[in-house]
Amino acid sequence: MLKGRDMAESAGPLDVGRLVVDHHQALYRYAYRLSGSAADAEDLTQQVFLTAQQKIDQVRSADCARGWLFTVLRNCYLKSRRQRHPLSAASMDLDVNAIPAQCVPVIDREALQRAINSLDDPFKTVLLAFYFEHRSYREIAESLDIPPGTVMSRLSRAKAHLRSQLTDGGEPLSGQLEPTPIRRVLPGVSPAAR
Amino acid sequence: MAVDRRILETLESCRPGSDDLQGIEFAEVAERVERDAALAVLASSIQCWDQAITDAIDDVRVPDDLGARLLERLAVTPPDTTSTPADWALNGAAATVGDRLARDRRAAALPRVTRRRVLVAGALAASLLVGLGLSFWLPLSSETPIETMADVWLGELGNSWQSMQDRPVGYDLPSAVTVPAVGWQRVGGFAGGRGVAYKLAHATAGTARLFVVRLGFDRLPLAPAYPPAEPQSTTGGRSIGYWHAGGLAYVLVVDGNERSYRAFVQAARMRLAGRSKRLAPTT
Repeated sequence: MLKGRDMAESAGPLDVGRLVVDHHQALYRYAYRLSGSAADAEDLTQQVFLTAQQKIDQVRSADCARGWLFTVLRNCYLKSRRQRHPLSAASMDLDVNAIPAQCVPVIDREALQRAINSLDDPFKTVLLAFYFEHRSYREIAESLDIPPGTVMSRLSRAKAHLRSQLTDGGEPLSGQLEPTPIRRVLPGVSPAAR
Repeated sequence: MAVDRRILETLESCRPGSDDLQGIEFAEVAERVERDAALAVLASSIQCWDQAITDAIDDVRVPDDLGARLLERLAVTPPDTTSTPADWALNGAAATVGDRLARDRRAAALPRVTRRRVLVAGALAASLLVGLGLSFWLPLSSETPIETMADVWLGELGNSWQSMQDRPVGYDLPSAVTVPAVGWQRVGGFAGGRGVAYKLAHATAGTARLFVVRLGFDRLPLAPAYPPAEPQSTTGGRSIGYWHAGGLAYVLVVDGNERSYRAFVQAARMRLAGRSKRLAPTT
């Protein structure tokens, strides 16, 4: 099936109807992964296109529309979270060393969503920008307006968390971190810390 | 084997299937991976995981009719962020026609007015007038404000409520509403909305009426999928919150002001939409 990214590159005038046709599926998927709920995903997707309808002139071309829509989506999501409750600095025990030796060929979709849901927003947004938008760490840093080092750190921890959730304590690789100022298992890592 | 944290973070930052590791900033790490077999295995394992997660993360079922519904909602929503959803319910169609006309006029602002353009402008003006005229005649108009709908439905309610044991089919209480209903009544077809009114009663939250009505989304533009935390409308001693899900419109009417509404939905611990009643620009 032709995916939105490919369809977006087709020629033609840019209007919000075309953006809906080309990108609503990708946006919904992204929104679902961010929010963890079908209803919220639809709400977010709708909000993005309403914003697009009002600010269509900000989209320079069909080629960059997808990235622009994803950015709007992420902002909508973060804004809705701030309205609900302040960003949590709740503890997240992340074992940055545990990289399972065995690659899991098939990933349980529900377990994956549960693992994503359990991440705090600063980690979740970086992780999804990496996996879903296929952005480089520098592009993520630019789009989220945070230092590249912070992106690398958050990405590493978020991925470690995801893998540990998906493997339920799988065998770690022999590669271990050298002792660093950050403890091997990080109790109460504050998202704002780095 | 001990792995430097910086190396691990670098490996984790490389996108699956990309040549990120060949970038200048990662040259030192790339060299170490080339020399160290254990590091190469680690890098390969990370890439394998990343590829599997990338594949899985995209696997989300999208509702079949989502695109059509989005287009339908956009068609009835004027590009105006300063008005509320309730305003849009009131002004939606006319504003959209007006905006299109304005756009058409701007587009038609050429140095010379031709006879053809005059005819087109005349036809557009006639269409607008016909549209506005029809809106007065047709009770199905999408311009009917939610307050008016609620007033009519409330006026239809009698004192006798049917037992919940004989509840009507097709107008179930939404899962977001956790307050028990103590009775129900049918409401008529005003504004195309045929449905059921429920009387909700909660030990501490008090009572409210919930209308479950078959209404197109165009009657409630921007209705969230869950009960709003704040009422979209407060008028005539009543506060109204509405949402739309599964082809049904849900209109919650709580007697009192915004505070009464908030007290009801909070005490009842209803699952609420995460959006305020006003959509503000985001970027």
